[in-house]
Amino acid sequence: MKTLSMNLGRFRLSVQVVMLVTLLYGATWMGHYLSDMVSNALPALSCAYDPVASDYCVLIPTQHQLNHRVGEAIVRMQGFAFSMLLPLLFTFINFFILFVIFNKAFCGWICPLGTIQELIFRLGRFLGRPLHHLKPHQTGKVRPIKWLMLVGLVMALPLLAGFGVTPHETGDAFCQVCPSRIITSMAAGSTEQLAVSTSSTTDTIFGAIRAFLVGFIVIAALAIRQPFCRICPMLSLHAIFRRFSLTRLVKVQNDHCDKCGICTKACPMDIPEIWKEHGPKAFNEDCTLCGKCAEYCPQDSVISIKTGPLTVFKSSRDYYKKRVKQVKPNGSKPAGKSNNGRSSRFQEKKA
Amino acid sequence: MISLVGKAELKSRTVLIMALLSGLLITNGVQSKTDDQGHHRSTHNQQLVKAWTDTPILIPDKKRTRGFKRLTLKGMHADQATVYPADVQESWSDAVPDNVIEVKNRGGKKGGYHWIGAVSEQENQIRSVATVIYFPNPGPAPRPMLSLQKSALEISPVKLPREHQHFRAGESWDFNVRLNGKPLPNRQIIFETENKTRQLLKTNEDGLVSIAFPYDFPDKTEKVNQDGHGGHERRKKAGFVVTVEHGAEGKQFISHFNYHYTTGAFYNKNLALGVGFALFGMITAAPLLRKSRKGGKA
Repeated sequence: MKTLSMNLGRFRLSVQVVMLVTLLYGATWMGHYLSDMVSNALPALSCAYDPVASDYCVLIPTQHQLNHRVGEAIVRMQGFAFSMLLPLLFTFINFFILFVIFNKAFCGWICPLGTIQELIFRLGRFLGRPLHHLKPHQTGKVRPIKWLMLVGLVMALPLLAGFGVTPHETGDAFCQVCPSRIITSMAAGSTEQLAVSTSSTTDTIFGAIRAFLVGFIVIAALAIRQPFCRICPMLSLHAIFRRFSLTRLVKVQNDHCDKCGICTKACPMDIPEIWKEHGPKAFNEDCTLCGKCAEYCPQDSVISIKTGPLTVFKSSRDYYKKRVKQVKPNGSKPAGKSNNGRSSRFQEKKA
Repeated sequence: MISLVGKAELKSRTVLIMALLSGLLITNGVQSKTDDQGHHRSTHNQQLVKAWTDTPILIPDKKRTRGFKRLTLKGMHADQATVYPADVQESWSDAVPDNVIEVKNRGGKKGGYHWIGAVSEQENQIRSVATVIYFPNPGPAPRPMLSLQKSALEISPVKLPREHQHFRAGESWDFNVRLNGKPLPNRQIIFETENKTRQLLKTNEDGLVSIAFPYDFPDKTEKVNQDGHGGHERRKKAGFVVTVEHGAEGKQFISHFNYHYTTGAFYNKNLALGVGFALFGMITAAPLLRKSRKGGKA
């Protein structure tokens, strides 16, 4: 009988699956009003358009408040009354409290869209699809997109909608194109969000982009790890606060690193800095704190995940040796365990 | 990574697409700004709120206010209205001068939904009207508020929509009818909507009636604003009212509950178009799934 040992990867997958089911379907068994009561400040793409979700993404109140409160307040020329900024402040305080404790772990452990993309990637390995890594110069080109998404779609357009410059629909511009809106609501059995609204040109443009993104991501995730995470504005919001976070990635300098680079191969976001740098620079803006770099670092205590003074996980040679026997750093199965489930004995026989 | 076009070409295409999108957004924005102003004007002109039915209802003011909500009582007169927040820890009464109720958000962790009820007594007739309003407060779910007996005869929803959601056309929601807190079976209910639907329904043995909100919104070619300045269509909503009557102890009890419902899930939406764009996205990403002739990195 095969025994399953618990490692960081499996533990994270368990947390992801539990959170996926809880966030997507929580209201069905924990109460109709659950999402109103738990929080509107979850820094992960748990979508309010999912009719049975148990929590809401913080980007919804952020956009609404920029649109309805800040933007409209400026237009009315009644000044920045504290009472108008207060709700916005509360949203950020909630958000910040969650950040101080977990920060980027929300991306790597909690976000439903992240989990779904990882599951699709596993399916890609199972089907034997190729794996495309982004080279360092390509990663550098993709990185600004998530900042543009944050500044443009989460902040500027909702604010401009509040001013009355851009259409009402741009008041929650990011939600309008967010693929989580379609994927999580479809997982809850509703195709409503896939349908493109024809009530205005802006609605139609947004709906088309949203549907296109979903189609692209579902297929791309079979061959590229976490395609949407790389441009997600939530990742950039996390990045702003990562230096204040209690949960963080720590890497110490080690002479073996120059010739190794397995950590970058293991990283689902293809972050070269985790290999090339050490200290604060190694904890890059793209990191989702999934811990893969620490799992696949063959040196003792070089990479670790810490929460405050507590070391949650640290790299070790023994762990690495066991881990690579189960899954290779790039997510595929080792030669003895083929990706499509056939045993090595079968393959040998075939040969 | 696949490089399909040259760097310079890719850059120029990106700039072109961004410029086109920005142009479209701003053009539509100017249009929407004009429409919004028209809408505000029309609201301002309609300070005297028009009732869409002869049945007594509480109509919330369309003008967006912060910290309080104003409602107009139509079809009956009451001296005061009682407010029950979601947690029902405390309820309070507000005067109703000129049939206008101003409900202040008292903050705290009272919950979002607040029940507003008014009662009028004339000879042997006791008539109550109620609605709910929403303040963005933290706090408990409105279950205690809905289960509490607030008038002798009462009709109320079993559940209220979650934040960001609505009663919608095509959905069925249960309503409770109770007399002195006890379910009232086999009682006739009148369901009316602002879009001219009128239905007669009956409560079951448990005093429950399931109301299927009708697809009775006007055709999409019609404008949102009745003053002809419309054109920027938002999710439409319309009022509804449910009424129940019962005679007991020599008195006639009449109870009304009104709120709003919105268009159905696929109103002005095209699922085929969404599927088409999703397929287009899939086809665009499909080359990523091809193994390279050199053997790939599977």
